[in-house]
Amino acid sequence: MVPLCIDSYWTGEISQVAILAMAAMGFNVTFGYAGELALQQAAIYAVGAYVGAVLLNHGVAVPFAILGVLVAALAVGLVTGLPGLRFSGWSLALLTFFMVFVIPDLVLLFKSQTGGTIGLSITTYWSVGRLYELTLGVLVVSLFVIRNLVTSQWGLTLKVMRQSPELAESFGIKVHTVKFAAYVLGALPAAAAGMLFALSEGFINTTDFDLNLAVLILAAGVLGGLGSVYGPVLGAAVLVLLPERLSTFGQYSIVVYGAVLVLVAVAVPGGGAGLFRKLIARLGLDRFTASPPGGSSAAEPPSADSAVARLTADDDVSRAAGSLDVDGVSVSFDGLRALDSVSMSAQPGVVTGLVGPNGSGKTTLLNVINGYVTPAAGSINVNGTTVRPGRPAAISRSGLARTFQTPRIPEDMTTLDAVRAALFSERSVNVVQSILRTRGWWRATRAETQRAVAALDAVGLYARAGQMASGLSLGEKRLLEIARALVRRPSVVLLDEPASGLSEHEIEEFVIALDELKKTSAAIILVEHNAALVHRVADRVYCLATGRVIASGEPEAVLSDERVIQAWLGRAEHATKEPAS
Amino acid sequence: MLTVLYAGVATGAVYALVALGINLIYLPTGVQNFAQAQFLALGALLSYSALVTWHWVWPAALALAIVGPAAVALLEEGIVVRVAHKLKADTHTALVSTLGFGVALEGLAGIHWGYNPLGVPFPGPKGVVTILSGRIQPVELITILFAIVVTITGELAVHRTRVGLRFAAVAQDVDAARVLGINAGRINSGAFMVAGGVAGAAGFLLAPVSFASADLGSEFLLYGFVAVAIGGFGSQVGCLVGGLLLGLIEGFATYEFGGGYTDLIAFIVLLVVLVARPTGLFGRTRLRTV
Repeated sequence: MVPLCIDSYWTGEISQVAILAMAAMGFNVTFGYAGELALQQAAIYAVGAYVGAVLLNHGVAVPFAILGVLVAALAVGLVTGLPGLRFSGWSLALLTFFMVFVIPDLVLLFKSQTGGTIGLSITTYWSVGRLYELTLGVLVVSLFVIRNLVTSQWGLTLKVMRQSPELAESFGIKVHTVKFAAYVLGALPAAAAGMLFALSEGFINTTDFDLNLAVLILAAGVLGGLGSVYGPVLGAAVLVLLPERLSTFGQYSIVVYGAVLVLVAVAVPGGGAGLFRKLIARLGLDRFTASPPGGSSAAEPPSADSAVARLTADDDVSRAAGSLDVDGVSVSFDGLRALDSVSMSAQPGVVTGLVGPNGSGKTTLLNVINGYVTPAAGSINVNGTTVRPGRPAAISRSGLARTFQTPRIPEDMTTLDAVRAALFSERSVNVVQSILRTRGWWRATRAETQRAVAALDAVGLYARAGQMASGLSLGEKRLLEIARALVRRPSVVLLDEPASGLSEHEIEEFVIALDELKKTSAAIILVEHNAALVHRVADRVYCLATGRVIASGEPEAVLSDERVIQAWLGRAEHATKEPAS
Repeated sequence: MLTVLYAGVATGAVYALVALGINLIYLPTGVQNFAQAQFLALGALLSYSALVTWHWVWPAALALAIVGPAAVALLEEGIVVRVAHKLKADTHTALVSTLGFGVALEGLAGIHWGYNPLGVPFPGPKGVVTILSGRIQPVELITILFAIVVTITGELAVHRTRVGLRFAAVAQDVDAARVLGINAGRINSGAFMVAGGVAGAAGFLLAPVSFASADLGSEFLLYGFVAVAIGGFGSQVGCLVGGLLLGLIEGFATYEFGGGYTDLIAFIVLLVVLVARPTGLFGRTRLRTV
């Protein structure tokens, strides 16, 4: 039964490594993947230890005690995750770090069960060997769960979310829900580790769960490499095994943990795992590991069907042609009227241009439609249904996609994955299926990859599928954003200055991609400063100035309108400059 | 009852001094310094060595308590802020490394001075002063006055001088500030040094009241941050008000429930403030930009 037959010294050591690795794993999930600085792992570890100890002392068998601890961890993860829904950055770090200091107070509050400051003995005894098997088993399960999760769509989603919550929302991802899931998930291995610690020590006290532990957990996570599945194991191994080799380590331990945090966090952001990956790349071995998740389908040659036909053919979601109606929208910022009862409509399969001088409210209007800005008055209708304003994720899910003035391209992701990430909200597979890799998960992942390939093909980026998205040229990034919109088969697409900064040639490629987009019968809103381009591709144009629609209609008519020429195309504004009398 | 009030204000003044230092560093650099309270501990420990071990005269001890932490703060700035900026690390990473710096500092102090509380005499007037039937130690009065003076000086410096403008410029865009001829490095170093020096002086004043020990800092760190959270990042007056409020709440809570639950109470205060007013009493909100 013992997987590795070694002496009892090593089983003890390895158990310690496994326990610390599990405690650091949660930090890795919340900070390394979700990018939120939640430091409560030591507190959760303490909860696991105390709940486990109390359950064991009430005669609960070990497997059931673990279940009990996991349930408690879920509850604690839910409670400690709540601040994470509202706060981020330093306030979340402070709140969660504070939890570590609150633990002794709580233990004191439940003195009768926890033993207060006297400590608590655990009456259940397990031999080192059995404990070792149990600990390794729990570690393997934890690694399995986290590995499968971060290599699935969930991992892509966390990456996108960390880098740009707005981008995630524009994919229809409910940022809060996903973050919450990360907090709860991160609590599970830490709590199990706490219980295993209690079981292996046989006695616990509040002093076991102090600042030193909190810092040790952080140091293990950072040293191993955040954002890497096996990083915490590496970091834990170094921090547990190395000190044993150095006889005078005891009093310096906390100094070393601190130094690890200072130096590794700042100078080697990837930690040990990052160094390892760089080494592999240096040796040219990365071609074996760099295949995109989702299997080999990326290598399939594009079929003869047109790309858009392939996108619209497999219809698990059948979406009719889209339309957008904006009705009397007004927005003010600190008394400045950015939009003044603006109404406009966009028809399916048609490009509606939105032009106007800088500061005329174009981007604000896009942000209102998209839900980033809540209007003071007016309504937005997608396909005739009024959407709730100020809810970007919900609005995106009702069939809206957008691009950004400065393309938002996640780092550390292939072009194919960058497109796949946009599909998150539409997929039907849940967390459990992702972890267990059910047949449904494989099917969904394959379908997603095919759609992503088709979308890339449609904008002419197929050849770039396996390359890092952040290395694309500006023109290619803008095409990628269109592919990302296209792959979701939206009813309405908002393009925010998609041609700015592009060369003549790149603009031609953009126009081709735009034609593909039109074939999906989406209503396309094009905000653009390039008058010639608007004239060429738009079927209808609205011109905004100082928050009002001053002209609308055929491009020809609007672009030759005297008011539009004055306001937008740059002649002096006689109206506002009254000669001084 | 008045004695409880005075004690609360005196403790609050120390929280406020830690908060002011955190805020001062945050203004130009945007870094939340989780090592700030260690400067307080260092100031207290250095004044122990100077006054008790080496029998220095008190002005020399005070000078050491100010200069020592200021120098260490400068070292921290050199490691954390400069390197982080050079490597384009995000603010979260900088936060983790300030925490590491503080922990390492505490560990080193523990090796040198140990974790036993060390009594430090106050070189000024001893005994207790009675004001309106409440009693307070002179050193506590001085601490309160010091916190007020630092707040007013900070407020004037930030809002009335060119230094304050430079802070704002560096905070908004380091590179743009450099183009305008502002020595951003010097602004950041200066902020760290002043914050370290103020914390060291506060440690000198704190040592006679609550002993000096290596782990003195970790108690005050979180409370300093809670004070900033109550007051709001960016506001000196907010730090003072936040610190004093927290000190009073803690003082009266200890009076009512005993001393075992102060962390829990401070945590609840923090939670309530963050939920009810995330920007603090004196902080400003920022508009979301896409």
